[in-house]
Amino acid sequence: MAKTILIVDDSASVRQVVGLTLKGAGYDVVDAVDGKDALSKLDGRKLHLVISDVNMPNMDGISFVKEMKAKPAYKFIPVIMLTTEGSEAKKRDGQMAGAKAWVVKPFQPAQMLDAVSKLILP
Amino acid sequence: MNAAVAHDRRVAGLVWAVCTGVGLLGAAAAFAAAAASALWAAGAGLTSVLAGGFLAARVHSALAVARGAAGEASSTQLPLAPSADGLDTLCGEVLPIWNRQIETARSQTETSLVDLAICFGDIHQRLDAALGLYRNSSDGMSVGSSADVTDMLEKGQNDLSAMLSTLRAGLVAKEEMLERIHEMARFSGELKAMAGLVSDLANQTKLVSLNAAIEAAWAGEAGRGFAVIADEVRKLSTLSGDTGKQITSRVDSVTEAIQSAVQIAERYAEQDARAMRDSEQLIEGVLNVFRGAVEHLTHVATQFQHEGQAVQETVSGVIVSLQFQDRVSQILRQTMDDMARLEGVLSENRERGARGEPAPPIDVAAWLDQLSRTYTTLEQVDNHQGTQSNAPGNANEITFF
Repeated sequence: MAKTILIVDDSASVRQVVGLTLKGAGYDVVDAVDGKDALSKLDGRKLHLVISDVNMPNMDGISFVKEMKAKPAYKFIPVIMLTTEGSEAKKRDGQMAGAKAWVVKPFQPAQMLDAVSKLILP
Repeated sequence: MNAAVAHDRRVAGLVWAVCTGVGLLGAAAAFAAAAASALWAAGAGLTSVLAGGFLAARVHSALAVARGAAGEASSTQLPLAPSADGLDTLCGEVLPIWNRQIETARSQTETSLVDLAICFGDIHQRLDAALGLYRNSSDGMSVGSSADVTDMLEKGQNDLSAMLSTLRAGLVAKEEMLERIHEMARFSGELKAMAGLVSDLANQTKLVSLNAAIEAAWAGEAGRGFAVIADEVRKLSTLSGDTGKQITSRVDSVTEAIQSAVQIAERYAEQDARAMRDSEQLIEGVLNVFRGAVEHLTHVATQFQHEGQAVQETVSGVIVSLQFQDRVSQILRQTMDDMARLEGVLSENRERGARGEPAPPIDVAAWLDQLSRTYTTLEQVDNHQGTQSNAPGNANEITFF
């Protein structure tokens, strides 16, 4: 059975290209337009990985990851932050929130798939 | 220095920066869109450039007179008062328009790039499916990989060689049989000689019996019994002579039959050898044609695979390029937010002016500092500082925590 990855990004084109990359590798994809939308889509859904943007309206990616990690069912879901932010301070924020990797857009599909395969839950 | 003129100068500076930013961002949007072959988006970007540049030039020109009458400003904090030439009103009206134009260009670019991403996704999936079919067929049909085809050809050649070896062994067996027949022909000559010897012996015996009969006649009554024996011996010798002749005749018939069989066998052996040579040449010819066809197919299939992989790599490159839209979008949004902030300040000050209240000074350094805090991309930092060190040209490395 295919593993499910949640993509959280306010950019439709980024959701599209990330989804394209992941679906091409055989993953199932669920997407959300911001942190708030992503939280509403957890809803007991079994996830194997989350890829989230940082700067989004309504709820940013760092806050979303913190809130998701506060839920026992999603505490150990690995998170990759995919963002235009490249500052070390922001990376530290992501790490503190519980992210496992930080990818600055644009990403190479092969690199992203490599990171996903390293981090995704069995 | 006249405070109003100084104010105009600062506002003009901000507006000029914003206008130039709009133009550059429009150009950036146009570049991203053009890279994705979205011509209409490029047009929108070009419109942004022209609109931004034109309006900036108009505002700059309008303030030139005021600036000429004013001295240099030494402080970064300047009072904001209503301007005499309606600059505040112009900015209050034009900033929301610029904002909407940028948002339209941004959203249309995004919509177009999403469509492009879907199209490229479809191309990528179809190509992947085609290459998957090719790989599956090459596993099963031995047409795809040259190693498989070479193995198949070698197997066919070995099978046909084995068949030719079997046929060649049959020919060798026939040649051995022919040799045996030749030996039989030699034996028949010996038999004929032996039959001739039998005839000679019969003739000699006949002469001996004749002499014996003559001697018996000379002996008179005493030789009468011997004469009977001599006569019997003569009869036996005659019979032996006849038998010898019959044997010779039979041997001649057998010899003739054997030689006829040998001639027929030799003729067939020659035909078989010729058929064998023809078969070998035919099989080699067929194998060569087949080998050539398969090599051509293999070459074409390999080319197809290479081309398919090249297209997939190109699509991967497009996927990377499409992501620049997100960076462009964020830069545009941040600029729009700052324009809205300026618009808010101007609006507030117009209201103060209407109430006869003095406008509070603008802290340009604080404004720029606040602006810099809203940056999300390294290019924005570069642009703010007037440097060009961090702009990403390629995909970035992944940081693992």
